[in-house]
Amino acid sequence: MIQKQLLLLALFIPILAVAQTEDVSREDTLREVTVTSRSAEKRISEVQIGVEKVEIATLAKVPALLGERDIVKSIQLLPGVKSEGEGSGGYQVRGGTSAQNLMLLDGATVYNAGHLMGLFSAFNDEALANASLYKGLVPAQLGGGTSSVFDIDTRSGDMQRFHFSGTMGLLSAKVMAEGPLQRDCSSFLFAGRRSYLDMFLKASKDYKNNTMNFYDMNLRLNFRLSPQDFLNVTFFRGRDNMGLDELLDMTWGNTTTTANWLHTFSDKLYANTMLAYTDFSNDVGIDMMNIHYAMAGYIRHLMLNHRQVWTPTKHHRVNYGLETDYTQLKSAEWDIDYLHQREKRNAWMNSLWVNDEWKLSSHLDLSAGVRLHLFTVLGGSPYYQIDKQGNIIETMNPGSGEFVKTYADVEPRVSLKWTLNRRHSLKIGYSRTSQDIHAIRGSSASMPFDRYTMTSNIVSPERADQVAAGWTGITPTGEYDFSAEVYYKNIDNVYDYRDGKSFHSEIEIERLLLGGKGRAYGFELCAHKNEGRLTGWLSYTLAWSENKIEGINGGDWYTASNDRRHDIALVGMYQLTKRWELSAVWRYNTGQALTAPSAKYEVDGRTYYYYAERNGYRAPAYHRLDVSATYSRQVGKTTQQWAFGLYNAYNRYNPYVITFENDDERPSGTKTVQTSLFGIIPSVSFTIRF
Amino acid sequence: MKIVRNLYILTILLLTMSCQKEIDLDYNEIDPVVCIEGRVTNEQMYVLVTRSRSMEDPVHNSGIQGATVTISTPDRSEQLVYDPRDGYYHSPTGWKGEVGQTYTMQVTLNGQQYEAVSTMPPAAPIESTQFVWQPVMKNKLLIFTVWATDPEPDVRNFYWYRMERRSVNPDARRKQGNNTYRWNVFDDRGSRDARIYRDIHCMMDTSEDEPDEDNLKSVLFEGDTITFQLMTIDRPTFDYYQSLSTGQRMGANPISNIKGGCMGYFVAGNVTRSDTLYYKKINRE
Repeated sequence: MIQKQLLLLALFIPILAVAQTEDVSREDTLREVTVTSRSAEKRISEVQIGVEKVEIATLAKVPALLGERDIVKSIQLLPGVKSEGEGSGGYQVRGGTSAQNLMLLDGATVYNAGHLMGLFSAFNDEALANASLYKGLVPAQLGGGTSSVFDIDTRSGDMQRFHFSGTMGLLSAKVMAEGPLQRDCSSFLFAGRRSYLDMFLKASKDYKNNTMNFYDMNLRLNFRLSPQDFLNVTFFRGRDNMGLDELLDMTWGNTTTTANWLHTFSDKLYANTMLAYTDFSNDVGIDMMNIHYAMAGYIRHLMLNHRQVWTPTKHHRVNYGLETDYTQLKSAEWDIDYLHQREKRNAWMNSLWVNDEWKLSSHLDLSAGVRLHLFTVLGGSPYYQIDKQGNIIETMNPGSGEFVKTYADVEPRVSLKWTLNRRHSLKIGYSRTSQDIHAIRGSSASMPFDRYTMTSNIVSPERADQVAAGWTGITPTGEYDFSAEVYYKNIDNVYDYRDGKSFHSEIEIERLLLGGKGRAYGFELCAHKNEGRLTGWLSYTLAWSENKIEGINGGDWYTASNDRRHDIALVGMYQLTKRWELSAVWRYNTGQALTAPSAKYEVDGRTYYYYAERNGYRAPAYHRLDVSATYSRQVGKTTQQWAFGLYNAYNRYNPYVITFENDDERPSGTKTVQTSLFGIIPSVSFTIRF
Repeated sequence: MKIVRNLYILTILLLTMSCQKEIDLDYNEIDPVVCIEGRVTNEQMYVLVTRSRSMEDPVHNSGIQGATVTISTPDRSEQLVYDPRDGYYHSPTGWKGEVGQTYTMQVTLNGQQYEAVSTMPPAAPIESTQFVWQPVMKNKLLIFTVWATDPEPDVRNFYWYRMERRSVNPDARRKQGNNTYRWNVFDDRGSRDARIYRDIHCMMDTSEDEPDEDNLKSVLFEGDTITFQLMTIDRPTFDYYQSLSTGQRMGANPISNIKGGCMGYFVAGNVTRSDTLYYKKINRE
């Protein structure tokens, strides 16, 4: 058992500024309720290309690991979005890496939002209202992620009545309460979740000194200050704690808080002002025999955003605004025995934007804008000049607040929709995006202990250009809708570790990095069935992803680690009876790119592998079926719900890691071993609402 | 409640039960790659030249004869001589390395030239070694602790170590083959009082109690012979070994300090050795 726990831990260890969207203000005033058929219409009428609206109501029906409904896992069923790997909380959009995704909760940036090293996302579905995923093509009011922007909004509490709910699952329990603070004037919503794995550990004599828990909480207060003024204040905290006796201690998580004031000047003009604070931190300590090791890092943002939406005529809707963001980033602070080192830096980001949604004619809609992004590297900590081998050749110590370097990026954004008729439309779009927070990953999966760095005098902003074209169509009754999109993306200044370097090789992170570029292209198809007892969708992605980094593959383009050719997701929900609802998800993808050796040789008498080509092999295909059944009944004023699920229902052992073991005792010489993370996993949960 | 508890335990068991199975992979065939291991130490000087073998070849390649191998300093140069008994090139005069000296290795094989440079650091004398059982949750882990003298306390020094064991158990000997029991590289950031240490993880108590085919490579048996050597190395050699270790997991070849396009390394290192030990079971408390 201990080895399995250690194995799990070992698997875990290698695996860890922005504008509000229109939906937030609408959500405050209209209390939008997601209705499937309307969602289909919304999908069809959307001018912006490459955006997916995530329906929280649908999310609740999709089967999930251990019954923990997960918005981050559910978007991985959409075309163009891929999981990073089994058990990982990261997702990859259109050939990008998970480090290139910007995740916003009520406008505040959230990093590495996963519990248990990413097994589950940190977002409690009870607190969520709606979410939009922009797959690299974004309107000018959004910026900061070169692959995607995932914009999630929490729900406002009911201003008329109180509601409560509680759910007991196998892993965690969650509660939700909402209601008026002052009827029709103000409301609150609180949602909290906590795992109780540690309760069982505490009850065990052998494991009582171990810690393994996570929790998250959302609080949202809404105030109707006047008919023209709305204020909401949100708070989120998600935290994980893991400890192994007194040997190992790990903790990580996000805390965000926002205040958002919406003021309506007239029918044609309203303004939104937001103050947001984000704190992502991680901390790990190891104390074993003579080893005393501690490492911590954080990213903190204090951001002010003001935007106005002006509708001068029925043909124009202009969104303009500005944003200022003071960022502190500690790439690492560590104690290695008696050595204490720290690298912490500050920066000031500013953005200005204007975006016009212009109805050119009854058939043509244009969303066009530009974002000016300024990133200023601030003094107060050392900066370096570094040679090609990563050695420091000059150290500079600019004074606190001194401008070290400023980068200016002009980012055009355009999306054009040509409505062929009431049911069909064509779209085309282009976006340039940039990103200044760089996650440097030691493994192919995102981990809470990735080292982060910011754009500096040496590290340039990551820049992406994407073009896409697509078609959307809906049947006359709205029962089915279809979409198809093609895209091509170029990305510059992608940073990775130099060969042989890892996160703790040097405190000066720039000494560990090499920059390169990437490109990705592909084709996405999606078909939704929106009405009837059976609803769901089928999505298909055909994709290529390549990188070019000096020193790898002779400096030529090579297949990226996250390249895989075909991804299919089939999602079905069936209303069996009034009380029983069934759902199933089947996903399939062809083999992930894999770097495997082509020869072996001996050094110091030990056998090692020679890698002739980066990602020149393919792992076996991945496929999995998840099913769930939900039984709901009304008892008096309460609704009770039992949810039963089977993750990986046909117990397919999918590739998680593939390793090579030299075995000179057998004629074949090498043993190729596939490790799978999960077989079949049942779940049950009980929810009560009133 | 009991049913829920049992279901809970079952689920956790299922969650923690990763599964391994052997799969078929069609390995690419490539032209053999040259590998050079060159060592100049305070004890000896040798170079081994080999070629890589196919992934499905279980037979180790022996040292290649016919290369021209030269070691030189600014003041002295010597051509090493191939010894067919072990397949290595040795110094015909018994030349040994000296602290602070920079050595150049040149190898010519089939018209292709390979060259590397390395400087020998001062030695780190081993002060003590000890086996200790460290509690890890309900189990215990056997650790071999080594203390040595930091040769330059104010400088970041680099080290390579190798722990060898000759087992009394024939199955363990067969399983281990030519493989080193434990090796690694490290640096002395954070050391104090001019002393460095290394904790080397050997085996779990459960493995010692129940040795099986999977853990035989790790299990120490009463009477096993243990030898330990610590070598101070320069930064390029440290980078080579560290990239060898991490690269194997990440699918990257190590950064060799040899120019010319081959695998392997050239090191001028200073070796100190511990006394030979015979493993004896010790009280786990």
